[in-house]
Amino acid sequence: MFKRHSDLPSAGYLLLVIVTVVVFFSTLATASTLILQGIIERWYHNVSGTWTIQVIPVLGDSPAETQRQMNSIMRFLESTPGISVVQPLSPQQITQLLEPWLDSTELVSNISLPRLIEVVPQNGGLLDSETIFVELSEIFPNVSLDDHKAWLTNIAYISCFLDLNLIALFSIMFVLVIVATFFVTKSKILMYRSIIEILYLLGAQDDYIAIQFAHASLMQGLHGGLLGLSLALPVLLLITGWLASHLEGDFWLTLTLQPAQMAMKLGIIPIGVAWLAWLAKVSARLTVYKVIARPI
Amino acid sequence: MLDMSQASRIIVRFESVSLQYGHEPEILRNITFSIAAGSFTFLTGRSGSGKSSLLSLMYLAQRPSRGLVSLFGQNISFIERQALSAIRRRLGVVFQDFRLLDHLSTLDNVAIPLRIAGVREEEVMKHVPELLSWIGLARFLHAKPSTLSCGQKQRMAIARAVISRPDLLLADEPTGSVDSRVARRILHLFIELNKIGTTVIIATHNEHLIKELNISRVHLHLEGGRLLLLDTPKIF
Ligand SMILES: Nc1ncnc2c1ncn2[C@@H]1O[C@H](COP(=O)(O)OP(=O)(O)OP(=O)(O)O)[C@@H](O)[C@H]1O
Ligand SMILES: [Mg+2]
Repeated sequence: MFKRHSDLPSAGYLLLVIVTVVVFFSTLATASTLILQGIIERWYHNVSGTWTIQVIPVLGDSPAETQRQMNSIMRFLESTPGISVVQPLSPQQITQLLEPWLDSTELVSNISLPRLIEVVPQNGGLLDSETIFVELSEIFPNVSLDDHKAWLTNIAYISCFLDLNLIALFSIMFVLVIVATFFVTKSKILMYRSIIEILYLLGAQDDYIAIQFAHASLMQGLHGGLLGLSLALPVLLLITGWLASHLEGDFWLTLTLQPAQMAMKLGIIPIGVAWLAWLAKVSARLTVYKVIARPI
Repeated sequence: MLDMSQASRIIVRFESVSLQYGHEPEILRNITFSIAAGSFTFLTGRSGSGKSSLLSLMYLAQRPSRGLVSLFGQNISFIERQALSAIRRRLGVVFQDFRLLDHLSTLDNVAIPLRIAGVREEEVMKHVPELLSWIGLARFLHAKPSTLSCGQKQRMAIARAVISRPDLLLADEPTGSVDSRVARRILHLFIELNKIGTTVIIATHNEHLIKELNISRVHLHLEGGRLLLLDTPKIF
């Protein structure tokens, strides 16, 4: 498709190798960022739009008394307009949540644990967590409310950081390809000096020669890009396979749920490859204009 | 002073041109001459007398140390890069050392001037094999120069020089490596080109070549760095 006659010998594959490496790592980096973004997005959805109410058992109260207090808090919440779901976590659920941190269920069951109630305010409701908390704590002083604001902000920061990271990585890759093209083209020009001189003597313009260098770089960029992609995909499959067998089910769900979405987002990589190849083409061309000196 | 009609018929013009390589003595000394459009010129001289050097000034491979060189009415000392290559495209040059590109086939070597001129690939693929078969290289379309004999390379170089029907053909010893039968064929080609308007300048130390030819021609001779006019054409 892109076949085109060239008067210059094809010289080495340095640029191809560089682009291959660049695309290989960019693909892996993009894929892992997408996986992390997926996980973060899931956290965000789980947490945003819900509040957690924590009821700390009053010292000396029996579990039955604590349960009674729980029930009246539930009734209060259920009767508050603007709340759509009120869901208490059972003591077993809380124990399960804590277990990974405290190691043994036995130890956990011996301490008097706070009770948790998950509250989902109505969508687009005007109810704000501050008002509810003030009302609640007037009646039940041992209650605290967490609307996850700090947590959500942190997640947003992490997500933003990942994006910036990827942008920085791509910028470095692009600069690398430009610099590599410059030096590869420059050394080719020196290598083919006598050929270029003959072409000039036969009436070639700078463009005629520059286009040939540019086309060679474009082809090396495209081939390197495709090679990098085809090397990265199996590695990606291996990594996701490994993750699937080593991650807890819940985490893995996040990934397996969205292969289509992933594939779509990974579509950015072929576009990136085309972009890199084009970049190689343009920088080769500019390099020729910069470096070439005519015989007269 | 030349009037305009005369000036426009002058294709090459040297005024007090000298050429010196580094700090060596001058190879060409104070040379003045002009070549009219449509003429057929022989440039002779002993080996080392500076024939190739004189031609290299005409195909713009170097500038004179002193004096003025103008081609197609343009003083080459005051020409921009782009215009220089436009002038070069009006020239056909047979270099004494051929200057073929060793990594390209015969076909691609000869096609270079056409491709530089932006001729469509179909045309290139039509005209180049035609010329190559006329010049006796039909069997070597895809051969690399390194696999050909010296005479075959010389013919390839000639084909490359004439493929784009140049306004001015500069041939440096174009029959140096071929037998007399092929030499006559090549001269015949040059005469045909000359008839359709190409101005021809042939540098050679082989004076027999000139005697054999029964055409109207200019004969310039280089000796001791000076240029002598030995023969003027009857019709010019
Ligand atoms: N690039 C160069 N640098 C230095 N000296 C050169 C260069 N080219 C030619 N000369 C010298 O200039 C002189 C004339 O050389 P030139 O090649 O012009 O002669 P010529 O008449 O073409 O000879 P021949 O018939 O052998 O081809 C020679 O002494 C040669 O050594
Ligand atoms: Mg010579």
